[in-house]
Amino acid sequence: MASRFLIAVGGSGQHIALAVTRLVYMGALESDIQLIAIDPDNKQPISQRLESPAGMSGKNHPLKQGQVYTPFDLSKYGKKTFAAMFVDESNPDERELFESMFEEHMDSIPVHQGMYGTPCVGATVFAEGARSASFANLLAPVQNATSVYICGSVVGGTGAGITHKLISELRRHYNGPMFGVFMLPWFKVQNTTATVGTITNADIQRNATHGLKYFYEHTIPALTSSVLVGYPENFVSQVLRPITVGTGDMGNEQPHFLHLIASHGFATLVKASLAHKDVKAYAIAHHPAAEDWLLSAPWENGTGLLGRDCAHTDTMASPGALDLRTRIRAHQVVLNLLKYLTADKRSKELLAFYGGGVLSVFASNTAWGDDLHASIVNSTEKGELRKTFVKEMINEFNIIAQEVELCVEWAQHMFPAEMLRMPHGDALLDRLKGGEASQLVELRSMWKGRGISSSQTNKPKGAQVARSHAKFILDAALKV
Amino acid sequence: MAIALLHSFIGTVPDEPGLFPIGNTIPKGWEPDPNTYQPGAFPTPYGRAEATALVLGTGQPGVPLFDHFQWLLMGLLSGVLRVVPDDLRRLDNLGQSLDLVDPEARYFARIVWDEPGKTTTFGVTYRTCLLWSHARRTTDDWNRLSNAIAPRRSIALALLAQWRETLHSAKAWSAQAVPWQRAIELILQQGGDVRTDAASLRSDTAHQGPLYVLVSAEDPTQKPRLEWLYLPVYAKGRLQQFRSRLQAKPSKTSDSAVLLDASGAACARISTLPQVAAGASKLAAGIGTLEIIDTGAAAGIGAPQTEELARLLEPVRQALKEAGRSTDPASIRAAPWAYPDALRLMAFLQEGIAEGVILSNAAHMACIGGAQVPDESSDQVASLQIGQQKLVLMDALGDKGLFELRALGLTLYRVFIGELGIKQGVLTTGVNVSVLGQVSSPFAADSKNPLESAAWVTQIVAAEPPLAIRKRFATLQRLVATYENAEPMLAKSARSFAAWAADRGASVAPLGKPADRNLSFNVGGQVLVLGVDVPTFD
Repeated sequence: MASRFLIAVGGSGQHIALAVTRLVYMGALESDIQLIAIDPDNKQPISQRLESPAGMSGKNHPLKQGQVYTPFDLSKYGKKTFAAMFVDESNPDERELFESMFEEHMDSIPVHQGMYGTPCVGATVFAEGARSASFANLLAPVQNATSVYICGSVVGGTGAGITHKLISELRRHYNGPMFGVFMLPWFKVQNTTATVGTITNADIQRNATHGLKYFYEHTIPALTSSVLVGYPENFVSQVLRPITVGTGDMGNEQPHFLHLIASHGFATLVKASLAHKDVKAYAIAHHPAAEDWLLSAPWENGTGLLGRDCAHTDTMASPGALDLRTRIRAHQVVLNLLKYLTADKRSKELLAFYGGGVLSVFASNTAWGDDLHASIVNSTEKGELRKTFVKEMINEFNIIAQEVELCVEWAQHMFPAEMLRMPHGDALLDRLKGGEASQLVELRSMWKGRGISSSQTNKPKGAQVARSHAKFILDAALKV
Repeated sequence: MAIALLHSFIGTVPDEPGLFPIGNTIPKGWEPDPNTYQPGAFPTPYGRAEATALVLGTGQPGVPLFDHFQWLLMGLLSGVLRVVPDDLRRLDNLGQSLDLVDPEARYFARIVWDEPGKTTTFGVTYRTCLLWSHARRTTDDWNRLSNAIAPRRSIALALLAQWRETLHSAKAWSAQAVPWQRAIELILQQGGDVRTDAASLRSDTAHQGPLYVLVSAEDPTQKPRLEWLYLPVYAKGRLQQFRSRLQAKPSKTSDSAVLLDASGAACARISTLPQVAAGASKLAAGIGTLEIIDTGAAAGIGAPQTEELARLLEPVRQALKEAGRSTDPASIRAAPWAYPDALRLMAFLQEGIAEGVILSNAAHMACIGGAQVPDESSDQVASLQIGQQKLVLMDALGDKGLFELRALGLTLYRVFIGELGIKQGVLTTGVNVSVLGQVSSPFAADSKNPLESAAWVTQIVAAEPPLAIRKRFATLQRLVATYENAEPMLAKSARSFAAWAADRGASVAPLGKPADRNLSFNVGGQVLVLGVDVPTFD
């Protein structure tokens, strides 16, 4: 199936991919984006998060699949150093050429852990991997792409080192529009002195200037157009806050407004390149007096992924042109109500009510609404089956809450709460602050008339019913 | 006021948030400082080449990478350093990966310094910068190299200036478009008054390489093109050494054409069949590389066998043709930097031989050696115009005795006394041993001179005159008289032969009755009248 491909390279590429994951989930980007992620150290937390964000993996992954591939076959080379990987001691000419090219301190870089901020090492290591059949197979599906986006940075050793060669390899499979989304320096590091395995801010700046020089000389011509994103030196605002990381911190996701900015390239680069064919490089203008412009800006009209595999059939209709704020806010509503519904007390009530256990004196379907009750009784028989059904449903509500939380927390990390509020007030969210009674009222209102009436032969599962009712909340929240 | 979401930006940012173009060239302030280029920070294994090209292209003398380039270049030109061509695909893991990174860099060369007991690599070649320096050579290493070059710096500059001129003349030079060429312009500018007589690019250099590098496109508005290019390395008297070896005997080995001296030892070797992988360039593998070997013996063994040498060098010509190179001498002389040594030197050696002039093989070789054809008013040279061709025979060329007129005179004498006749249009002894029209030049396939004597005839007149002829002084006088008013070539031949045969240290005056009868000898449609002093033949 033709689709857009996101090729995420290195740590910065994975940060952008995680941002895109959330935006696809919320429908701000269409769900036709397919990920290929590349990083030599794919065991770090950020890679694990990308491989299974909030538990979404396999067919449920918002980017089709999240596996992070190493740029070379680790099993073949094991934990070799850079020199050991390339120099055959029995071939003096090879050693001579290697030593001609690379400084002595690079010999001992353990490439399976990363390139230690040394782009020339990254480029060489990747070249070794790029000639493997497995890598060719990895890139082969790209030939059916409608467009390709390369995301990475010119800062570190991996993304910076790999990008240029990766593009030329991709060009062997694909001749269509190819866009670049590249991070310039966007964080600072705590250490100020160079030690083995660490990089300094001076390294970052050095790699940026050299990487950009190389990028303009060699890479730009191979791309349809590119957008460059970096942190403006000495600038601090409500959404632009500097990040300083310690050793190993970049193994974890460091959410930042600039990743959202970079992701916006998916929604804008194609149009821009069609309008200005001769322009190869873009930056993004940001207005400090109106920092919420990206929340109000047009994105794409995706359906979002919350309603996937639900029990009703009209879930995949696009809600239409919505700004990002509306989508985030709707998911905030969903999260709020799912937390209400999956609170320990509520779960026990649900199980007790449908499972024949100890019945709370307060337990009744009035606590979660007639329509959810209708969906449950229409979908399953009484007794143990229904108890199992409800368990599955509650479990799925929890899963959805985690998925939505992945997006909402990220948005709340980037934007202050007041910026996420609807411009003309938000009565619904205000009401939800009123506590359980208000939440129940809103739930019943959103689900009213939408209970699932299934046939004898096509009975949905608990997870599907949960998805449907979560989607009812989302639909209602999007309309408000 | 809007800001750009970039680490730094000097320029106008539109008020409207969102994408805005920042130009297709690197924005102001983002360029690394050439003084602080760090090759490892470039995202390519060829970071040193990249950095060197940038330094050269921006013209930054004094920056270490520029200085290294200069020393590598001067080291090569001065003959201190040597080029070792190589092929990445020969180099296992690293070579294979580098080949994938940059296929155009497949053919490269290491620049090495042979010092007593050790050979050290100082640099590597690359298309944009020509030469980049080894990452692990120390300041002491460079100082040592610089000191070794210093005594020959003026020679190196002289060669560099001449080399630049040949590239410029061939429209392969652009200081604006090709970084290494810009750097050479600066080096020459800083070199002060270059003594162009310090060494000759033609005669005092050996070609090393080839290197696969960028040169200017013929149309300067186009992008630079990749070319195979040879570097001149100082080798005093190289042309003369090669010239002398053309008298040696060509022979063939499995991978070379060799020239064997009088003792049978190889005094020169030209690579003809490098072992290369499928698809690899034979040029890159060094086809046409000339090695001059000092055997201590005289190279010459008699008449040059240049036809045979040319035949043996056919694989070299073929490889050049496959690389899109014309191998005619004029093309070679117009762009000598594009040709391996053997063909380059041969093309220069034959320069000066006029179109349509057909010399004997020996005269041709002497001209290749730089000798000028003497004026025809001299008794030592004579010509015969046949159609568009001018046949030339000479008794001497420079300091070399050729005895071609004298040899033809011997033939005239033998016809005169009835020893030779004409059978089926050929001058013969009667047992079908021809005396004229032997060899053609390897450098112009249609240059066969039908009046050139056979080697055995020339050998006779190169020695002492036979007593039997010397005694017949009156016959010699009648021979001179017979040809006194004939074609100048025949007249000069008769006089030359008679003077030699009489052995009196003076010319022989024409005297006595003319020939009894005449023979008609057809040379390419031109009928020559040959006098016969006896009534019958055969």
